[in-house]
Amino acid sequence: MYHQKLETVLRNIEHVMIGKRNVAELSVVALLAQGHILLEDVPGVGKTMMVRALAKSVGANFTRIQFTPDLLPSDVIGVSIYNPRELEFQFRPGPIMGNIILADEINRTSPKTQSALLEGMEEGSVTVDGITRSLEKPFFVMATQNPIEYEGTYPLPEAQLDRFLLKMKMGYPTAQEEMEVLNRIQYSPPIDKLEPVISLEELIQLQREVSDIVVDDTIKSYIVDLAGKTRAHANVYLGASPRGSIALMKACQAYAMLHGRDFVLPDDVQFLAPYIFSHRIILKSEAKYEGIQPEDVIERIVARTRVPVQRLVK
Amino acid sequence: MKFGWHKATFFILYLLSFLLLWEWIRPINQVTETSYLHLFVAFAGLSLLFYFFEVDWRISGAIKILFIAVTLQSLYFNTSILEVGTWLPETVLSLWEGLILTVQQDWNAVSNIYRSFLFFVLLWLGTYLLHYWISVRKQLFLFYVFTVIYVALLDTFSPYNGNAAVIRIILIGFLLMGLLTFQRILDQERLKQSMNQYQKWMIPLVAMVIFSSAVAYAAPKADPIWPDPVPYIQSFSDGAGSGPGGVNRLGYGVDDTALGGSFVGDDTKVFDVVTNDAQYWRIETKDLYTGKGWENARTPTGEGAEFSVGEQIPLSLSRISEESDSVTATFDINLKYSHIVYPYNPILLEEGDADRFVLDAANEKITSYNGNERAELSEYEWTFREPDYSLTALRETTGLGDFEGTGELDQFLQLPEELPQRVRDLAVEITESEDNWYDKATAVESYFSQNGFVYDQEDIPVPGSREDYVDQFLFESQRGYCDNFSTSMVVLLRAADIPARWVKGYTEGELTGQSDGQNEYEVTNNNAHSWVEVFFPSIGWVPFEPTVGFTNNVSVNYDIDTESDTETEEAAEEEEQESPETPEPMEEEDPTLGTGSDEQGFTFGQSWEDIKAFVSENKLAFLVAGLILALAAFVLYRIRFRWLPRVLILYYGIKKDDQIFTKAYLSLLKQLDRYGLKRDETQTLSAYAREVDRFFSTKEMSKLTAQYERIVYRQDKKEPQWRDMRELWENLIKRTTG
Repeated sequence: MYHQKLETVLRNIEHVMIGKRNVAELSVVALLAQGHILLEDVPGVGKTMMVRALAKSVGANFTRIQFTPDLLPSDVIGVSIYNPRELEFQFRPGPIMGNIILADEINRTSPKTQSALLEGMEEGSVTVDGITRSLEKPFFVMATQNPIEYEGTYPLPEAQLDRFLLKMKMGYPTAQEEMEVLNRIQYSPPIDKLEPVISLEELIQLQREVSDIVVDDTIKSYIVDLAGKTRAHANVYLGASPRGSIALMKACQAYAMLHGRDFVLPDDVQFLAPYIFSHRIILKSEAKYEGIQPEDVIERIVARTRVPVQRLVK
Repeated sequence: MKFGWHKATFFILYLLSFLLLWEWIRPINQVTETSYLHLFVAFAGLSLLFYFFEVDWRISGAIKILFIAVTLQSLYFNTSILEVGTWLPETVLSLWEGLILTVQQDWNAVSNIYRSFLFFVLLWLGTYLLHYWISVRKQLFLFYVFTVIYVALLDTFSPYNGNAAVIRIILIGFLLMGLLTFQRILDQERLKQSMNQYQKWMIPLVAMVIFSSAVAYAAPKADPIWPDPVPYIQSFSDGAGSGPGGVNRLGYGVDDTALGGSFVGDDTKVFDVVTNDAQYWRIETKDLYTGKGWENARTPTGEGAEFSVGEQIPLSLSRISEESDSVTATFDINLKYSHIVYPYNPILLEEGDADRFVLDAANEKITSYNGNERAELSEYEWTFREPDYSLTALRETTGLGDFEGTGELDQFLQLPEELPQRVRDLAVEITESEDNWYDKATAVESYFSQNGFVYDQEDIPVPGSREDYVDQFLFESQRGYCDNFSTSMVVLLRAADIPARWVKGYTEGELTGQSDGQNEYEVTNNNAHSWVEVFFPSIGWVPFEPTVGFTNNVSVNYDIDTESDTETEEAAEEEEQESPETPEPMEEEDPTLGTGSDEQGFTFGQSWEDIKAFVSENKLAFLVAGLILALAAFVLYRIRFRWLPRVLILYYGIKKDDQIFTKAYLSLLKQLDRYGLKRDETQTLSAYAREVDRFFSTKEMSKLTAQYERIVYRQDKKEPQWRDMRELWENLIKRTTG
C-alpha cells in the first residue's frame, strides 16, 4: 500500500534502477522530509542515474557537482562577475541553485568547499557578497562518498555528517538484475524516456503535509528509547544526538506517508533507524578493529528494545 | 553525590532492609546464647552503608575484613591488637582448622572463632543479597516471606517469643515492599521522581500500613486451630507410652495444672483386671481448681495413713450398707507405677508384694513401699463392696447438714475468683428448678449431653492467659474429652454450692474374656479417665459421670418405698448410654443454642463462633475439599488455553464497552501467547501478526492488527465497530483451541 502519487515516482525510478526499491523509497523519504542523503558506495553502481531519475520524475531541475580538491566555494555557490556593459556586478548562480543536486565524491574537496555546500543544505540559503540568496524549493542534495579510497580525501567532520538525514548504500545488483540492466540499456538509456509524474508544486505540498502525519507518544518514546540506547551502548563512543531523534521522527513521518498511512508505526522506526542513526554514532576504536559496523550496532539495539504496544496511560 | 529524592528513598530502603535483617539476628541471642550480637548488627549496618554509598569494593572489602579481624581479636584474644604476631597466625590457623573440619563434616568440633567468622561471612553475603534485591531487582518479597517463616519457626520451636517481632516485620516489610513497588513503577514508566509523586504514593502507603497493622493488632485473634505442634512432634519422636505419667496426656498423667489441648490416643496396656464388678478404678483426687487445671489444696507429701496387705484400708468413701456383696478384683499390671489403683469402697488389699502402703491424705493416692523405697507392684488383689447408693438417701440431701459452718468442706467449694460470672449464672440456671442435691447433680451431669456438647479428642483449645478452662469449654468450644466435662461439672456444682471434687483413674476397660468364672478386662492408656465425686453429708462421696458417651457402672437403688432391696441394681441410672470404648460424638445440632447465654439472638461474634466450630469440626472434609479444589484449579489453570477462549468469546459477546476492541485484542495476544505463539517484546505488532497469519494461513490477524495499530499509534478515539471485527477475532481465538 503506497501513496498513489508517490508510488508512480517509485515506479519511474524502478524503471531505470532495477531491483533498487529500497534505495528509491529512502530517496523519496528524504525528499519528502526535506532532508539530504549521503550515499556511500563504489562508483558505477548507478548513483547518478538514481538521482537523475528522481529529478526527472518530479520535474525538478538537476545539477551535478563533481568535487575535486581544487574546487572553490564559488564554484559551488556562484560568483558575482563585473558586467562592463551594465557597469555592475552580476550574480552568476552556481550549481547549488538547483532543485536536486548530486554532489559527487564530496570528500575529495577541501573542507572550505564542503562547508559551503553543507551550509547551503542547512540554511536553505547562501550568502554571496553580503547578499543572502535563498535556494530553490524543493532543495535536495544527494552526496556520494567513496568508501575505499581514503588517500587525498577530506573526510566529512562528524558535525557535518549530522546534516544528512540518512546514509545509505547502493550495493551491487544481483546477476539477474544486472542482465536486465544490460537489456534495457542496449538501445537507448531508459532515463531519456522518463516523464515527470508529479509536479514540483505537488511535491512541495506533500512536503508540507508530512508534518501532519500522526506520531503518537508511544512512538516518540520508542524513538527516544532507541536514541538513548545508542548513547549507552558499550561499543559506542558517541551516541545519536537529539537531532538524530528529530531526524528519525521526520523520516518516519515521510515513510508513513509514502506508505499511504497518516500515522507512524513502530515498524517504520525499526526500518529507518539504521539509516538515520548509523552515520550519527561514532564507534569506539576497539569496536572498529573488531570489524563492527555502526549499522550492526543499531540493528542490535533495535533487536533489544521493547516495542510499545499499548497506549501510554497518562 | 547529589542527595536528591532518589537517594533519600534508597536510604530509607536500605534502612528498612537493615531493620529486617536485624530481625534475623535478634533471636540468635536467645536461641544459641551467642553474645556480642551488637557487633554483628554493626557489621551488617556497615556493610549496607557501603553498598548504599557505592563505595569501591576494594575499599569497602578491606574495611570489612579489618572489622572482622578486629572483632575476632577483641572477642577471642586477651592480647593487645598491636601484637599482630600473636593473634593473627592463631586466628588464621583456627580458621584453617575449621575449614578442614567443615570439609570432614565434623561440624560440632569447629571452634567459636571459626563460627563467628562464618557468621560474618553469612552477614556479608546477606547484605550483598539485600543490596542486589533493592538496587537491581527492586523486589524483596522472597526475603520478606523467609523472614516471616524464620520468626514463625523460631517462635514455635524455640523459647524465642516472636509476637513483637512479627508486628515489626509486618510494618517494615510492607513499607519496604510498597516503596520498592513505587521504584519499580517509576522505572518501568520512566517517570521522573518528584516530591509530588512521593506524597501521592507515600501518604496512602504509610496510612494503609499503619491502619491495617493497627486493625490487625486490635482485632480479636482466633485461637490457633491447630494445637501447639511441639508436644505432638515430641510425643511422636518419644514413642507412645514409654514412661510413667505420659508426656502428653497419653494415659494417666500427674500434672493437671494446665488442661486443654489435643489428646493423642495410645493403646498401651496398663493392666488386666479380673472381676465380676467392673467399675471405675480410682487413683487420686484433686480439689483445687485454678482456672486452668487442677491442683491440690494441700500439697501431697506422700505421707498419711499406712496399711499393709490384709489390713482394713483406712479410707471410707461412703457409707455402704453391709448387705451389699463383697467382690474381688485381681490386677495384673503391665505398666508399673508406684501407685496402685483401687475400687470404690475398698475393704482389704488381699495380695500385693510390698511391705506397706501409704494413703496420702491430700489426694487419696495409695503408694506402695518396700522399706523406704517405692515399690512397683506387678500384681495385687482387692476386696471391695459393690458401690450402691440409696436414691432416697441421696434425694434427702438439700444442704451441708452437720457440716454447716464447720468449714471442713470449704476446699470442695473453692472456685477461682476470676471465674466468669456467666459460669456461675449457668450453674444457677441449670440447678434452680431442682430442690435436692442429687437432682441438681444429675441435672448438671446430663446438661452436656442434652445441649449438644461433643466428645472429641482433637483440636481441643487450650485456654489463653485470660481465659478460663471451664468457661471456654462451656461457652465457646463445647467440644472436649473427659477432663473438660468432669472439670466443668465440678465447677458448676461448686458454683451451685454443692461440694465436689475431681477424680482420676481408669474406666473399666474392655472385656477380653473369662477367667475362673469372672470377667477379664484389659485397661489401656486410652482408658485413663477423670470424673466427678459429689459429697453428700449423709452418704459420702458419690461418683458422677458427665462425659458424653461414658457410663460409670454405679448403681443407685430405687428404694422408693420400704425395704432396702438390692435386686434392682441392674435397672439403675436412667440416662446412660453406650459403652465407654465407643464414645460416639453427638451430632452437632446447633451447639450454640441452649448454652443459656445467648438470648440476644444473632450477633456477629456468635455467627463467627458458629463458623469456627463448623470449620474445625469438619476440618478433614474442608482439607480434602480444599485439596481437590486446589488441584482442580491448578489443572484448569494449566489447560486454560483450551477453555479460556470459550469464556472470552462469551464474555466479549455480551460485553458492552467503548474500549471493547482494545481489550479483546489484548486478550487475543495473551491467548496466542498461551497457545505458544509468543510475541517477542522487541517485535512489532504487524511483524507478529504476519507471523501468526503465516502460522494459521490466514489474514485475520493482520486485519485486526491494522485496526489496533490505528488505535494505539494514530490516537484514534473511535474504535472500529466491534460487530465487524468480532468474527475475525472469534475465528482467530477459536483456532487457538485446536
